[in-house]
Amino acid sequence: MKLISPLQAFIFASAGFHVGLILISDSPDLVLPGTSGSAMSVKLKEPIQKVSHPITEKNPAKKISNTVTHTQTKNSLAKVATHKKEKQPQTSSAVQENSVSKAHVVSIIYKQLNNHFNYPKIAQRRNWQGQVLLAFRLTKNGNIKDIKINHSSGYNILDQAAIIALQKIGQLPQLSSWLSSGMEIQIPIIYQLTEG
Amino acid sequence: MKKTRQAFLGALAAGLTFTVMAEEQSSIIVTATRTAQTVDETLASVTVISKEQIEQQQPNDLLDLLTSIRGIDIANSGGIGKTTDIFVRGTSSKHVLFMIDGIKVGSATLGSVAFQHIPVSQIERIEIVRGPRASLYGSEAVGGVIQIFTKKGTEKEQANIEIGHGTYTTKNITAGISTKTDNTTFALTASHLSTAGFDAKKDSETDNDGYTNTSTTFNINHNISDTSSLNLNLMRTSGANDYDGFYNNDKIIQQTTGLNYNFSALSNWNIKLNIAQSRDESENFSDLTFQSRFITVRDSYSWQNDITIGTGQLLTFGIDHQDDSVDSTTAYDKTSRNNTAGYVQHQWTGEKNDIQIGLRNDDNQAFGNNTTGNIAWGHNFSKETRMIASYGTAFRAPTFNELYYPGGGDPTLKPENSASTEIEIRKKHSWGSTSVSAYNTQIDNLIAGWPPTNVNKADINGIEISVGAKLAGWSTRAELSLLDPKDKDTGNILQRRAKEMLRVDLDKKSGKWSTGFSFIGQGERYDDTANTNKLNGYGIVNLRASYAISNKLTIKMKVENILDKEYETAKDYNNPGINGYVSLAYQGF
Repeated sequence: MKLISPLQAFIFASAGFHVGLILISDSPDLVLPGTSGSAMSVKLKEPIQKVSHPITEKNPAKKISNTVTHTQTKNSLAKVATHKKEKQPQTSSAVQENSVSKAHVVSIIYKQLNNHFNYPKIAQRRNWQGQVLLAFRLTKNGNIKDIKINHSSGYNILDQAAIIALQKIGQLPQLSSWLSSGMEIQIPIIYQLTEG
Repeated sequence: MKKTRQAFLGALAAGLTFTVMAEEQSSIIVTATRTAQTVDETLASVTVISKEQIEQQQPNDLLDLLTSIRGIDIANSGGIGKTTDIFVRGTSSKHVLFMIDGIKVGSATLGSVAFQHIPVSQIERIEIVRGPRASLYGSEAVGGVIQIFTKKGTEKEQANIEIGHGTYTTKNITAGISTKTDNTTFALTASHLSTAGFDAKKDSETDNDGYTNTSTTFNINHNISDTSSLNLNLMRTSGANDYDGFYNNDKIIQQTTGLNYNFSALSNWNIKLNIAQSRDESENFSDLTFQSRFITVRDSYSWQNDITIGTGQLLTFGIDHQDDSVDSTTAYDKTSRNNTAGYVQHQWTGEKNDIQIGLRNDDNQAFGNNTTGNIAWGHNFSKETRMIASYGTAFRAPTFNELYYPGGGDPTLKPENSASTEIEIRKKHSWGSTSVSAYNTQIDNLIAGWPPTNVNKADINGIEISVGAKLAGWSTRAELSLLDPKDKDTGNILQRRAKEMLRVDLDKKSGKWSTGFSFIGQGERYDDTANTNKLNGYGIVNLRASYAISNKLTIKMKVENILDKEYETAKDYNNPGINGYVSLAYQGF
């Protein structure tokens, strides 16, 4: 499977400060099939936030999970951006607030997305099913940007349908008040046919 | 399993500031119901009979399920297992294509399918397509296509046994197992049916005419990856039948074997490869003295490609090759022939409009090239109202009997050709759905007489109405067919076709009980082409109920023809009077 590492770190120091140290752990938390949820854990030096979302999937055979650990020292100034080089300065009080609000933001995104995805008729007719791992960036203003497929379902039509659904949504301006910065989001979309 | 990693660190301004971004793990599940696999039901008139409906109806044979479903007329000659004609939209019994798990079945000498032998206890699902589909499937798909899917492996390990007994000493035992490992599903089902029957025909032979049928189906599916799978299907049925007349016993074997390989060549290009064989054997006896044997073997090879363009276009193309051979005690002038076909179909799917066009050329060793085409347009007037308009041509290849039967068969016969036009309006309501369709089918070069010639023409007009509703807990389905199937030269009604058919099914589930009834009614018909022997119309009522003793054990019972009507769908051939059947079904492990 494809290993995605869109991290491009730009670290620079201002006068008088030393460069911060950023460690990214790459050890995925395995979610065993049969567990009814999946966990995303974000480990911070302080505070520690664990956010988990209930999942409605019937057949949790495929799960993606990982842990992202960030460690940094005080007095460091590190500027890290994604491959799009987005910079989002924050205040220290935003640390906790942001972690808490994230859960809320994500729940809103899910609600929005759920209303917009359609099963492509052709795939339905041909009995095609699969899982698309869709990634996008939510800007501070609530715009959906940089939509891409991190893992293909194997069927172009399902991949395309997922991208189109997200493009149609375009933006989630109601989220902007919750967003103190941009967010990178990755969502598995499962296309599943049921007996009618 | 996939391994992904993504970390995003916000900037750290003076002091301590950062943002953590991580991907979300929850999934969005987009579901849709499985649709008909035979054709696109949004552009064709399709009836799907589901597993639940089959279980509800408690059928002893396929006729019970198909009779009087919109567009389907059945003429039976003396009960379970006896010769049965099926007329789809007024066409002949040679004008319907039967497939079992995607494999064409039937006798190459008769040109029809002895579908009365297909074991209903091993069927998971039936798809009935009305209207021509030759541009996809080739010969025979003139009046429609009936596709049978046998039982497949289930998600859970499961065993089932059903034992039943009823009037006419009808007995049936069915047993099956089904299982699934990581990527493989497996199902095996076997059944044995026997009936002492009743007197098939009103003639000097007044014995009861019995029937036995022993069947096995086997299915294994292995998912090699997310987008590739290998599938093996096998069905074998052997039966023995008593009739009245000179040939008064026969033995039959029907067997289908198919191997499918599906895979993606590219993410928008899917390929299906299929190798299959279907066998149809019959041995005929006169008072148990062997008289004749007919064995048809059809080997087929197919390669189908599906290419998607964006999310709204599907291009399908492929090649089919079929070798037919006949082995018989009758010395046919020729005992084999082959057919190679190429086809292409394109479909545009939009928000409001869907368009499909298809073209196929069959190159047959016996009669050369035959090209068929199809165009269909679907339009949504609103979310609730949809219209479908279509036009299609089809053909039927002459049979081995017609072409090569010694002392009469004419090898210069041409295929029968048809053209059909159809319009359908579907509406969704808060209480259910309705559909009204009107069609016309013209058939030329119909083969008739002996020696056979391409002499007749038929002109069939029809209207079909169906209503499906949920009313006070009752799921209701009513299907009405009105048709005028005419011989174009004489103006006579085609032999044995009824002009009116009605079927109403009502079923209710409440707690452990499930109850239902069916009304089946048909108008008068003529037993002969000259329209001199009239058979009266009839109406019968069937009742059924089942009770779940536990979550593994169910008792089922039914009473058919509760008004004990006497009727004929073929002259002098009897149909069952009032009859009952009780069975006990176990499902679990």
